[in-house]
Amino acid sequence: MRSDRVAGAGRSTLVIVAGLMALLGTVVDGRQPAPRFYVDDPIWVDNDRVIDVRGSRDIGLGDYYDFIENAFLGPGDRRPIRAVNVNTVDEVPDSSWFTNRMGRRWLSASELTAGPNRPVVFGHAWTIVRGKNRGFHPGFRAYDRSDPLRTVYQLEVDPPAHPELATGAEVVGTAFYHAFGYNTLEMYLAEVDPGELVIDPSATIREAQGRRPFTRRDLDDILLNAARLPNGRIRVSAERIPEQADRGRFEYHGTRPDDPNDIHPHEHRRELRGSRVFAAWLNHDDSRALNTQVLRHREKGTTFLKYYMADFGSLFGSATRFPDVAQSGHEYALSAKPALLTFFSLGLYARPWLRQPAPSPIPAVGRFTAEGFDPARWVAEYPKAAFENMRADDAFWAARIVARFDEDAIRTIVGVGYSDPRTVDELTRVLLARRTRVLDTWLTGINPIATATLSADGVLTFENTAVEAGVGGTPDGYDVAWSVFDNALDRHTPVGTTVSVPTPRTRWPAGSWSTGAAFVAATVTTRHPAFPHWRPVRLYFRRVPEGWRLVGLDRQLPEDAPATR
Amino acid sequence: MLLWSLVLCGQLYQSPTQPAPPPTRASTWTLQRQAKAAAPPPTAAGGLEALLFRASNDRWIERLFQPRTGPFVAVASAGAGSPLGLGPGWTFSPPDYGITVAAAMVGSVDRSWTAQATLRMPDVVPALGRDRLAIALSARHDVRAEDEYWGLGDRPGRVATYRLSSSTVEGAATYRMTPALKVTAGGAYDRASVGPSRSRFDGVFDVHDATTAPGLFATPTYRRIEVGVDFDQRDTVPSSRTGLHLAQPALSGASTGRRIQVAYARHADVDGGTWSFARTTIDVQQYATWLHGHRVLALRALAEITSTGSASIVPFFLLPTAGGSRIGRADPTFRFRDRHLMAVQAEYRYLLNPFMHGALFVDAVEVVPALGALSWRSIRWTGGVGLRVGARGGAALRLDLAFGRSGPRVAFGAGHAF
Repeated sequence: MRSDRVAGAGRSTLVIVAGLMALLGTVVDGRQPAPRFYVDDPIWVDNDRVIDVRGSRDIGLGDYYDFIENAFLGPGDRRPIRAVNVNTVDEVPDSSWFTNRMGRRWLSASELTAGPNRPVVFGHAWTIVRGKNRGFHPGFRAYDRSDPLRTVYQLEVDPPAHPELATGAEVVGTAFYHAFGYNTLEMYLAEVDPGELVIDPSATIREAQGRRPFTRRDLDDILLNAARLPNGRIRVSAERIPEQADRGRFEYHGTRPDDPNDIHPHEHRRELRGSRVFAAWLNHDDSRALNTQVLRHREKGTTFLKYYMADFGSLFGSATRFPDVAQSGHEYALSAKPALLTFFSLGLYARPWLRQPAPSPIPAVGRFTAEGFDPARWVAEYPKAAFENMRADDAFWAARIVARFDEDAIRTIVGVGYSDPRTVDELTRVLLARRTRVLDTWLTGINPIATATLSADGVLTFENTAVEAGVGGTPDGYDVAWSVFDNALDRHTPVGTTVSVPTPRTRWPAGSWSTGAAFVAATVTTRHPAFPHWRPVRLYFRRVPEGWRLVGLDRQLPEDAPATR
Repeated sequence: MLLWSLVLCGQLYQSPTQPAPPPTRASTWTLQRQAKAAAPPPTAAGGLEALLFRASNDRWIERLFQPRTGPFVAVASAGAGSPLGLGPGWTFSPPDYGITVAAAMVGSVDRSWTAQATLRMPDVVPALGRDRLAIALSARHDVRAEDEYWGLGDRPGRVATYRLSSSTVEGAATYRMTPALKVTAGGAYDRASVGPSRSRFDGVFDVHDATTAPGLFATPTYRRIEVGVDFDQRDTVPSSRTGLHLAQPALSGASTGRRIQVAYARHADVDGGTWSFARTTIDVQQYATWLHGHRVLALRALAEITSTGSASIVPFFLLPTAGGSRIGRADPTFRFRDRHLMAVQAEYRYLLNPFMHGALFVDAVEVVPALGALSWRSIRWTGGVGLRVGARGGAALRLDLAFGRSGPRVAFGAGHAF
């Protein structure tokens, strides 16, 4: 009957509606989607002090475990993902790990030479307060008696046959890493008059059974193995002992469990991955977790941890107590294949790097050369996750910073640590040669478009860092394609046709297509016959009152980019 | 109604209970930090990491084997041919290490044992200069449970075993004239005796007599006077003053330089002189390196010359020997013994990594009753390959596969052969 059909139809409708409601519940996420770019992009300061870390503790790191873990266990996440702490223009924001310095502005000569240091004038009369128990580099802790505050420094000496080898590396390494942007401890040069050295009655040194008094014999052990200046004094590197609480070390993988602000796995931090480039350039083969420091700071009512790079005595040709060994930078301490080849060939097989020339005759230089230096194959003493994870974009970021050190800057920094002009000349020469190889290797690993501007009337100007640095040669040209970008939906609407230009400057397509657009994008393909693997770079611009602001930079990595071996 | 339902769905799914996305990039990271703060991960290190950290930070190895003061684990051997043993020890040094007193007792798996007490003063007269004049006093008793004796000379022989007990009280003074040159003078009382051993081989008393094993039934007591000169220019020699190794440790062991040791020891039998003898030892080593220290050629010439009066006899257990893990490596320990020993050794070492290196070696050894009996035809040649594990001047473990007239032999050792 009709009423039955009507009643049946009503029930069917209800069923359909109920099904629709259920279906909507599964396919419709009522939350608003996250936009591609937030209002504060690109972020230039990562506020990693937002959580108070008063509960942090001193996390020690053992020599044995660090070596075993990194050499054999392969810790950390090894996925080849993009660095997780970069901003939307592929740069590293300032944080408790890193402060953009030379990478974003030119540092003056005084800034380069000062590094993290404050203006200090040392006397020659020191009082020892403690022995130095750890590390390979002989030394002790002392204060300068001319300092009314009795600031304590850790003093370390040079080997007798190589004056300035280790102390020079310490201060120059500190200056370089500070200029790169890392946090570094204050490191000075000073002179100690052995005849005026006094041992404080309360001075101790740690041994297996615990602490015992620091004796004259302990001091003699150090002084007798310290290089002397012509005036009889001993040159030392003086590291200021920080006032902040020592919270141990950080590893090149994972995060610190006691620091809630430390959310970016270290193996995926751009500044740690990219530090492999700096380490290769300067031959910092002892860069590892044990040569880092974490300090607890308190500023403006907030307690936070700050992460430092430390201990640069093994830079350049130095191994602190003697020149670097031939293996330095060429091979891990434990490498199975070359060892087996050598063993079964009864020593007839000689690793290629064994044929490098003898070390420099200049004592303070040690074994440091550009001959045989292959940045892509350079390694520290043993592996670490962040270094292994370095991608072409990480290396490009670091190489751009290296490119900003011209000869004057290098010579200025090197001059801080060495008194002999021959040493300064030689180290500068080698650093320039190594710099060239670093730039050749890593400025051309990806499409070297680094930054761009878009004027209000649509003129796009972008920077080819490789061309600016004089490496790789001039590309054949650039192909630029424009689009309107929907930030909410992450969607592009192409505009016009692709334009080819010979130089990194072009104008967007004519017409009123940009009117009302909050975001536009330009996809730039760099055509270079020597680098067919370069992928396009996409530049995003947000409309601002004064015109357009670069808000995003997307890279597509080539599979065969020579970031690492 | 359908439209009304759809509107209702939209209203439901825009419920304020669903969180809105964070408004800024900074706030996305802040949320992550707050989440971590709310659920902090454990801070304690895992088992192995915590253990190794404690071992490193608390210096377990140093505390166990080389403390300045207190008990320690002694690792030593009762003598050539005896395996390494372990045992308790105790030591004392003041903080300035002006004097060190130590006592230890060590036993090994072959039932050999040694007990020793020492007193050392490395710097007796500081006014002379750091580490110029050192003295050492010691008292020691060794029991070697199963030494082997094959007869005198290089004749084919049948192995027999014996137990050797020896006691020594000695003192020595060393004067360092230059960083590389030191002279030593000392004296000692030595007493030794041979006894039966528990072994699967025949006992020496069953196989030999006083003719074939001189001194078999003797228990000689010696008053020993010894002087020596040691000229050591190797690159792994500790600093002239402090013991710190300054030179680049290209390999485990020396890589350049030479060492010349000459020692003369007079053993005077206090009971009439029957067993008196003198021994002159000359040991010359030369090292050469290439490929930045990754290849080393080590050469050695060794002579041990025994001289006696016309009526004196040297007990067989005090004769120079060849065979074992250091000299004549293809032959068993103590295989050859006679009054005079001549050996020339060459070892080619090639670095595999900072902790290991391989080696090819050749030993040429001869033992003779008289220097006039030296003959090219009597030289016993040994060659082989080896592997060493060690770093920074040490070959902590050594494994050699040696080939000689007796066939192949595997030899284990601690430290370099020379």
